[in-house]
Formats: sequence, C-alpha cells, structure tokens
Amino acid sequence: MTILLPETVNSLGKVSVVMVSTIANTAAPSLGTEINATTSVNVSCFLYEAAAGTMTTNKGQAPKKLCTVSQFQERGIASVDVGDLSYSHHPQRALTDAANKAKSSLLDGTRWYMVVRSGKAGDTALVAADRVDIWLVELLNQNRTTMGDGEFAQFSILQGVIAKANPIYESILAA
Amino acid sequence: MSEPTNSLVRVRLDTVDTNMSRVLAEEAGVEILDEPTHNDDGRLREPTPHGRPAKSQTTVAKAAAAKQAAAEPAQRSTK
Repeated sequence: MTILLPETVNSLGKVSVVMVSTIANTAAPSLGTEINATTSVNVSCFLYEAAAGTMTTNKGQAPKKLCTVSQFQERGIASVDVGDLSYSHHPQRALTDAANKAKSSLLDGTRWYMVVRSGKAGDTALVAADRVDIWLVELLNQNRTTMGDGEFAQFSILQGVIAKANPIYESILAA
Repeated sequence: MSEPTNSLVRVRLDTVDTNMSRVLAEEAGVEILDEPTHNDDGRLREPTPHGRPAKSQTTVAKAAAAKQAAAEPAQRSTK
C-alpha cells in the first residue's frame, strides 16, 4: 500500500468572505455578474473571525422492541447553524465611508449568500475556478461593541445570523 | 449637509425583488421599489422572482378604431 503524504495548507489569513445578494445557480456562481456585482460586498478585511457554519444531524435511539437484544442509533433531523458575524466599523465616519461598508450593507433583515473561499490569501480577489462554500443567511441586529482586549480593542459590530438553507460545499466559480 | 440614513428597502435585481440596505442600493444604483419590506403579519418578505414582462391589457379599442376608420370612407361615399 502506498503511504500518502497529503499536502496541507496553513489557514492563517487564507479566508475570503463575500456577501452576495443573489445567486441563480449555487453550484456554479457567476464571478462576473454575481460575485463581483455592485450589490456584493467583500467583507474579508472587515471580519475578525471566519464565518463558521455547521450542519448537525441529531442521533438517538428508537424504543427497543421486545424481541431484540441490540439497539442501534438512528439519524434524526438536521439543523444548520451559522455563527455570529463580528466586523469592524468606524463610529465617527458616515455610513457611505469605506470603513463602514460592512455596517451599511449588512443591515438587519437583509438576506445574503455568504460565499466563503478558504485556502487562498484573503486579501486577494476571487477568480474563476475557485472553490467556495455557500451559506444562505438572513442577518439580525447589529450590536455595537468592541473586539479585542484592553489597549488593543477595536470598535466592532456583533451580529446574529440565521441559516436559511443547507450549505452548498465546494461550488466552483464560473467566469 | 445631512448624512444619508439607512433603512431596509425593497429593490429590483436582475431576477428577483429582495430586501436590501438603502445605502448599498443607492451606491450600487439598483432600482428601489415603492413596496413594503415586510408582510402584513410583520415578517420579512421573502425574495420574489420577477422578469415576466407585463402583459398588455386585452382591449378591442384599437380594433374598433381601425374598423371605424375603414368604415368612414365607405359611409362618405354612400352619402
């Protein structure tokens, strides 16, 4: 048997997140008309942490029948959860200022396709053939807070997220 | 100079009408619709597809006018 030595990728600074208003085909989002649309927002350099989503399937046991001596687990319902977003803003700049692009766009009640690219430098633009994960989300209240500790803390916004659909993993961006 | 205030608005994108931040909609230059962002029960409106062209109203007015115009010379000639 061949011993595989898989290549690994350091994750530091290698996540991009683009909030996209609409995607017609989530299996192959269009880079030109959807990802790079004027209504899309690349929030990679606003976010403090990678937007983490999870899909969890309950597992449990059905009642045991009299005739059986073994009991196995069964698959229950699946639930999708996306962690809160935490991103920077400038409290003293106008909403139209570039420093407040995330705050002015990610309004409470807006719905987005959250497109996450991992494994490439986060400060580089997405390109055709990139593999992305897609989470359909609806955003909740924007709570003003700070991120970081003590003298290094920065003004930030903490915002809850509702997952609206199962995630789409490893879509490949079309040109 | 007053600064723009933000609010949720209904906008028309290529294939759907959806809710969006007013500031982003104005920056992006998308059409802001004069429609509510919430349903009557208070819940947010879901994105709705659009794109079907408005169907022209069925009317017999044009046909009647053409028929009338065709008939008028004939009426004149009989006088």
